[in-house]
Amino acid sequence: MHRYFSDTKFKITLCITLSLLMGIFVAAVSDSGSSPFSSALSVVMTPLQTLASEIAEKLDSFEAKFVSSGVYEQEIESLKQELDEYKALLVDYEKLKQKTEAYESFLEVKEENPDFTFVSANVIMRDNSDIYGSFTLNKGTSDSVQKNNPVIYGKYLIGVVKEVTQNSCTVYTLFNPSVNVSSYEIRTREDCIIEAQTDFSKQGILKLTGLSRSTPIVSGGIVCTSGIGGIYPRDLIVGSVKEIIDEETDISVYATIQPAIDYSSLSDVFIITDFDGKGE
Amino acid sequence: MKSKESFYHILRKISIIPVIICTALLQNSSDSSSGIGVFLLVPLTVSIAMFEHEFSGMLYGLLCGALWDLSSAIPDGIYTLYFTVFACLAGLFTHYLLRNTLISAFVLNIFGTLGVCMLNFIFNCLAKDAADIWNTIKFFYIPSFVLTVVTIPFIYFPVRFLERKIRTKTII
Repeated sequence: MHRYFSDTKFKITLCITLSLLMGIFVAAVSDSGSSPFSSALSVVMTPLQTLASEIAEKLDSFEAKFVSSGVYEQEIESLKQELDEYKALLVDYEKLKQKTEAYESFLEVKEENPDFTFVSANVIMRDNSDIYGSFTLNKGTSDSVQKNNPVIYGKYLIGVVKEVTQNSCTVYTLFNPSVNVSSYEIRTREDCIIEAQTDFSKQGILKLTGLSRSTPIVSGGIVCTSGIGGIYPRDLIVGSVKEIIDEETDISVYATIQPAIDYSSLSDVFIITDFDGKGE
Repeated sequence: MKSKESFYHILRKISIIPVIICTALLQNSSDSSSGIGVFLLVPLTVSIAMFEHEFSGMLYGLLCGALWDLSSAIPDGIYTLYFTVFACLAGLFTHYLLRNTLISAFVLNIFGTLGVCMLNFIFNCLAKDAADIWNTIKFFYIPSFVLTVVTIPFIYFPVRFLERKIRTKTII
């Protein structure tokens, strides 16, 4: 071994080691952070490294086919759990979104009608045997709800409270033939009455009666409550005129009304417990 | 005859270079989704140095270290210097002190891998003031050390086969 230390090869080894040390120093102080030797080598090696990475990627995807089914089953289970969590979050989000929309329109109504007193309520039951779509709300006399209180969704009239208990109330929708609403068409200001008939209710439309033969009401007109009778406040939207039809029994005409809201999909509504002109 | 000998001599020297390049690419391109590294260049350097001895082994070690430096996160040139010196020492020990056997390869590989792990640890953990050092040692360095050491038979025997095959041709 002593011969090696006096050999030329040892001196060459020493020179290479010293030059490598210098290379480290150069790399440390240079902007690129790499030594000249590494820079030169990378010119040759970079294409090879790129090729090797591509081959490695292809091998990874090939290897995946030989992974045991147990691994995939576990992955599927955890993904299913994650999906269920996201679905639950989505349901909550949609509920919040609906509530926000309802509260936004409620705020608009409140600002336009500061005299209204509201109670918010949730639909807790629907009567499947009732073809007119009546439903039960979770507010009753303990919340100042009374019989004949109008029920609204935003600016739209939905129905009226017909039965009240301590903690719940039953609402008849406008499709119920026992519910009549005095109204007017906003453009022509013509007074009329909204009625319900069974055959129309099945189609999801209302009947607008009391129109003159030469009524100026046309299709697309908006019909609102007139406030006459003291049951419903003024200017609650009922729906839009669908078509004008000649009455069969006399020479008058009537119009069919398409309600603005689908009553069967409601879950949050407001009950107007008091307003100016109530009972007048 | 002499020209044939020198041809095989050169062939032997050159044939090792693609092996080194492929091993470097394999080590640095493979997916490390398990979070553990296998330092294939260490047993390769040890195996080559044991057959090529101190000077040639030092040059091959320089190449191994330089290839690793291309993709390493520690300051450039550190691995090159380390592998150059280590390969030279491995060649020296094999030439003058140790026998060229698998046991010697294991011993040299253990020291080589230990050196690489310490370098890596110093520059990646201590120098960067990394948190949770003990877990890094437990879940990365120790498994990587063990895996690297156990790969020596898979590298030593193919290198020995290559070296002996070309040496036999040289003799003939």
